[in-house]
Amino acid sequence: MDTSSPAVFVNGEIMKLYMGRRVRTVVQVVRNEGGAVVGQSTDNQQLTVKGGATSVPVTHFMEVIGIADGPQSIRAEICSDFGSNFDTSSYNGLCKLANGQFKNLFL
Amino acid sequence: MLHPQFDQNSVSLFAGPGFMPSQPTQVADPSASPSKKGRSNLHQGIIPVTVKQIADAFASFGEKSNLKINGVDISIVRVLGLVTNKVERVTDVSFTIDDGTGKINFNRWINDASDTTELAPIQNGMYVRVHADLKGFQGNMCAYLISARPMNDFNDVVLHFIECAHTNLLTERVNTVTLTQGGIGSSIGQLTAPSQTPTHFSHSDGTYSAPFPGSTAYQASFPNQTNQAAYSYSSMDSSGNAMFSMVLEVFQDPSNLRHEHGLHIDDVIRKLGIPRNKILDAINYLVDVGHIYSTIDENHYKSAQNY
Repeated sequence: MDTSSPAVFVNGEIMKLYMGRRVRTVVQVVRNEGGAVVGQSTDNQQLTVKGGATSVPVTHFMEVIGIADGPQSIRAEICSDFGSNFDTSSYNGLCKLANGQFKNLFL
Repeated sequence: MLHPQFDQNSVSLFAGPGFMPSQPTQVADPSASPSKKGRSNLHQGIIPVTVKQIADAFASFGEKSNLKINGVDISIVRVLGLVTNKVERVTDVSFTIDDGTGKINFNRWINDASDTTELAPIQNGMYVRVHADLKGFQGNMCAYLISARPMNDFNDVVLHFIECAHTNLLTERVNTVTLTQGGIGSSIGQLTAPSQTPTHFSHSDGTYSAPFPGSTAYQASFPNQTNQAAYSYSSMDSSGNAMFSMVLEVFQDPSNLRHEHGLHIDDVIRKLGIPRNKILDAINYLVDVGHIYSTIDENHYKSAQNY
């Protein structure tokens, strides 16, 4: 077992608390700009995913695991296509739980 | 998502459609005493956990005890995450799951071709739902794979972690109830009962999982009780005896012994401030054992001792 590099569940707002740390979030792909993907976070903030998988279609949801290197920017390590059917409000609630009352289960 | 209600007695590892392990697993007597050591007293449901929870449980794992999460002995767990490092060998298949809270290695012995074909769709970089049996042995923890299925609906990822939090809440609540029951204190009246029925979560692929059903074992233990419930005559515990002694002391008070007809019940109630029915219980008991006796009518009693 290895719990040395956990990825924190974040939305746009919570990510600001974890600058430089490994985070995970889900964004809805808005557009591709060269090597970066611009997406909307589950709390309706615009995030830029550097090195994001450009294979994920626009309007699909994409999970990004990587390093938060700016208040609205992630340097992606792993991207997963979460399809077009994803409940953003549940994920947003999970981000709050995972960083609040149940932090000990995650970090 | 459906949340069907199940009778507590029907909760078992094999409840619900679509889940039957190919490897034999231990099915223990569900009525086994929790104080018995060994694997026969393990919780028989599947507990959704994060890898962090497993790591914490393993850190406090003792050789002679079972793996515990929140004081609950656990065996079968559900983990959900990304597959990495899949290695297929002749004798076994192993892969690592990274669920964002940590990485854990799972192993599956290959007994026949069905084991290989079952795990063939699992590839690196894929999200899978894993059910596994955790065993500790000589300071190491082994996770033996029961089933691994690729995920179709990624809302299940969110649901899994919410279930981990929910199960954590249930087990914490059970521990609080256990401590309070052991105290038999005034806090019984203030404790609210946990949820009446176990909730089960159905997933898009038809599997069911049971959060800790033992929590419902405590639901019937909390009728409307107040502080004074501890003084119930029928319980005959140490608190009841204390009240009987108090009533007896009133009757044995020398100033009361002077009265030829003893004390009226209302006088005793006024002196002690305890409800009438409790006083009557005490008086009935004291009459039965012979400490007091009735005098001019059924409302007057006097101590049998003459100081």
